[in-house]
Amino acid sequence: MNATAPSPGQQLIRMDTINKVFYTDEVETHALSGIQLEVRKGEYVAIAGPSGSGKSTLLSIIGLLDSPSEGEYWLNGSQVANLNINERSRIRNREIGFIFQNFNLIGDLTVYENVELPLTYRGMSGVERKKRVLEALERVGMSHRLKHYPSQLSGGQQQRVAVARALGGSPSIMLADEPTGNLDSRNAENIMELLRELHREGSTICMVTHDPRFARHAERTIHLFDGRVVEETVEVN
Amino acid sequence: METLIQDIRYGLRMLRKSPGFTAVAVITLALGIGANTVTFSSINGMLLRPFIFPQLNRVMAIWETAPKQNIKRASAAAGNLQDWQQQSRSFQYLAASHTWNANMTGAGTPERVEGYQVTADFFRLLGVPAEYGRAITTDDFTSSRVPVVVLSHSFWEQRLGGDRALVGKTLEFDGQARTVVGIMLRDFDFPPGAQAWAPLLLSGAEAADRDNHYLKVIGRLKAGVSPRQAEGDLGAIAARAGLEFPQSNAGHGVRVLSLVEDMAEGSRQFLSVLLGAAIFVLLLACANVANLQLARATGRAKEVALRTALGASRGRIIQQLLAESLLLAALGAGAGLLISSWWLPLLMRTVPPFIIEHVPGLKHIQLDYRALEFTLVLGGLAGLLTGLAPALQVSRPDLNEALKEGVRGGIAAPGRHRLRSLLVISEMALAIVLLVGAGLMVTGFRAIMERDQGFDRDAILTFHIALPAAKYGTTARVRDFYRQLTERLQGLPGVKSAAVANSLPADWYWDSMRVTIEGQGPLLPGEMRLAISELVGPDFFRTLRIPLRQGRLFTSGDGAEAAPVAIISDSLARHYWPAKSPIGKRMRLGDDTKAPWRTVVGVAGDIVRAPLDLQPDPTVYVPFAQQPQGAMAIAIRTSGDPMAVGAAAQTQVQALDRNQPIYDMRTLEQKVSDNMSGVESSARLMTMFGIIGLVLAAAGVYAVMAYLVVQRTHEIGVRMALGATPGHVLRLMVRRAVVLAVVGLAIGLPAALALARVLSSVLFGVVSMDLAVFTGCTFVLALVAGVAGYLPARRASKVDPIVALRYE
Repeated sequence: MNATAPSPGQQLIRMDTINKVFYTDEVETHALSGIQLEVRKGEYVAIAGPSGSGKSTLLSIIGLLDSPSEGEYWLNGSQVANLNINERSRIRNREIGFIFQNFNLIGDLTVYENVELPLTYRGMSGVERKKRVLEALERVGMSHRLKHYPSQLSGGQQQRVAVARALGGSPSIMLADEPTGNLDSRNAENIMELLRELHREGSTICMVTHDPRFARHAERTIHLFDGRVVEETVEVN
Repeated sequence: METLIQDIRYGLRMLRKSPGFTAVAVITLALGIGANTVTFSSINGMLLRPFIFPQLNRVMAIWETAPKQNIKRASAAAGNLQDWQQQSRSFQYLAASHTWNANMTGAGTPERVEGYQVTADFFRLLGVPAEYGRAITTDDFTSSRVPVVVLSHSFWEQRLGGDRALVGKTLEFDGQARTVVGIMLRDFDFPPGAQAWAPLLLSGAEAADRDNHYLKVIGRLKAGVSPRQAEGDLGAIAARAGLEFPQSNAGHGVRVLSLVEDMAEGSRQFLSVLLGAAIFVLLLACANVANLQLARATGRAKEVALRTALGASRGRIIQQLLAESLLLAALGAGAGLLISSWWLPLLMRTVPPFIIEHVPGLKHIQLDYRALEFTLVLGGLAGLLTGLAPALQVSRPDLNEALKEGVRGGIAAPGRHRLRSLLVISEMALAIVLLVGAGLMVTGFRAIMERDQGFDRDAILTFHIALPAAKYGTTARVRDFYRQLTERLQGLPGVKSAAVANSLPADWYWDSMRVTIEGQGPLLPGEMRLAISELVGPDFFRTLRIPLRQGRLFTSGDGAEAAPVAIISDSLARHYWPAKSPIGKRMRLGDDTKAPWRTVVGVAGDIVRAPLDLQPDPTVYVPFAQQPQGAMAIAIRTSGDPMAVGAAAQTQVQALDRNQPIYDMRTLEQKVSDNMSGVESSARLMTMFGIIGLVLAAAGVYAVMAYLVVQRTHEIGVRMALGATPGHVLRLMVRRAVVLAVVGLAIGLPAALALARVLSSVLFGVVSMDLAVFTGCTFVLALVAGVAGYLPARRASKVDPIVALRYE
């Protein structure tokens, strides 16, 4: 393996001693303990670990879908650990692009409308939205399927649309949660290639995966086990 | 059969497993079915079986007509009835009745009896025997027989103690002894309200008279003869009479229609409207339950897929789901019957006793075997209606998808909820039609109650007195009695004024007479120039506050010896003296050419006699003192509660004649209100249906929205992950409810408009187009739908995106 130093960009994410505890029937479950994490702009980070290690919980906290029980979280220099629900929505909409394992496209909306959806929450003009949607779909090679519904697309195509939806808002970071989990190997490779391309073009990506083959696509891999960071490896190309 | 029992057993288990769903569905269906059972029971009592006569469909009502004067229902003249009886080949029997109200003495307190004099074949025609003794027969019409009377069961039971030994004894009616020959069956009440029947004895001249139209004629058709054929037969006889007696009969015709149809005129329209509304309520209930079933069926897709995978055919699956649906409907029908058994007596309690006595079939309204059959059929239809769509939808599962642990995240085929949305749209459309219908009925009813009827009905006590001719044989005695009575009544504390009149507004009977106007030419052959003839005391106009338009009112100077005078109503003045003053002109009342010419001395405002009358009836008022008669009504204007002077008024009557009964004591307000009770009951029922409709529509919107929130929880999570705020989610969900409501209203409003047109023609004079009702109902329904949609939407906006994203 060839070692390449992680991108020397500006700090985008900083987490300090993040803990996450779930309480169920008086049982405390420590999902995350003392997480220290830093992601720089333009970096491609993978979060790896076995099932139940806390990867998805960490990604949810990074994506402001969940809040930590303790600890501090700065995104783009702002403290975001304890924002109210509307502020979190606003930051998610502007700074974060999600790519889910099960695509999470909305069945009643066309490809175009799915990609446009986050932009509508931003109050963007129709002309600007159209420009961005077409650009994003062009970038993932799905501009010929604008009027299709998700059910009319293959899994690989749906995930491309999901990537376009994440891209369309020009987020500071794209969070991918097992993006290949529901795809066959060929489509999985294609999606990973797409993410790599996007990274090469300057996107910051944070991806959760349990598959070491895909983790290798990232520059840096954070290994979680029982809610703790147990190892951090740097991919050498 | 075995599989059916298996399905029913499984269905019962499934219904027990979801008690909440079962309870809501059963209550919803029970409301819809109960509304229909109540309405059907009313129709059954009033339109299908109002009388107990055998072969009721062959019993006809027969009216004379004068088409040129647009008279469609004139009572028959005795001479014409004689022609029909002698010449008609269509009827097995023809008979007639005539009002005979008499004072009964000889059995304790004097009683006013609502009686009818009937011709020989009256009871034979109706085919109903007496319960005790016998009915009136041909033998009672021979001159040698003693006068007889037959009593109604309720009168005999309630007023005479129900003593069987009364048959054969004698009672005095208007001073004449009559032998009680029979007591009729309990349910026999024809004409409605009748308490006694006596033979109608006519002299030779009276039997041949063709000028006085006072007989209500009925006929029993011969087997195989249609009403139309009978009408043709009698019409030919009338045409011959027209040629033979042109002065009285030229241009007259005959109308034959079924007795039920004739008697139900007025109530039939209201009942039809109510049945339509009840059907709407049931459709709404069905749409709601179908919606619930659809939601439940979606949840059972996996179970159905498994059954299909194990070899169940589609038909078998549909049968099983329909069995559940029919079980649910059967429970709903049972609960609907329970609701009806409570609702019906409650409804009947709102109908005034006078109306129950006098409107055909009202007293027969009950939950009988026909209502039970109707409810069962309705339950079966409701079961099919609510179960078919869900059964068809869920019985065609995508086995591959359904049997997987979960469906692929976020993918929902477009139009997945289309059927449910369609049902909600239908509910909104049905609800607006129902609400507008109810609103129009209620506002129409209010408008009638509040409209100016030309007199002031507040604070007036009324009652009737009929002085027997045997005791008050001279006009002087009659005049003197009423003069003294009004003086005594006016002297009572709390009485402002008192007046006599032969009929009062809101009375059911009044006298119509031929009018001859001096200088306006003789009557054309067959022409009926009629006006209502009112004999009134000098204080009549002041007591009823009927305004004077021209001339003067009657005074005590308009006595027996004074020049004959008359006051005419505005409409009569306009009709005969358009653009001229009628004051000083002369007219004659009645057929007697020797009757005096009366000089018109005043013109009074028009009055509306029956609340639903659109046009006032032309009326001629004559001073009572100039033409006294024994049967009169008394009106007393009081300063306080009119009923408070009732006892004192009765004491004054008895002080003048202790054997003289008074009857029908009610306030004028009560009389008007009683006359409106049919419309009021209909309006009340429609309001009830409207409220049920509103609640069901709201429940429908709520259920669909709540279901959508559950179905779209994952989607909501995705949206929130993409940056949607709670506000965005709230708007998204509310928008859905609003769209459904708006589409429903857009479909329903034109239908409501069409319904309003139908209502205003069917219930002419009650319902009219009212923009405020349309606007108000639309606003209320939209508001209710908005709130029903908002509540689940608010819950959706509070969804935790993490939880939602995990939700499948």
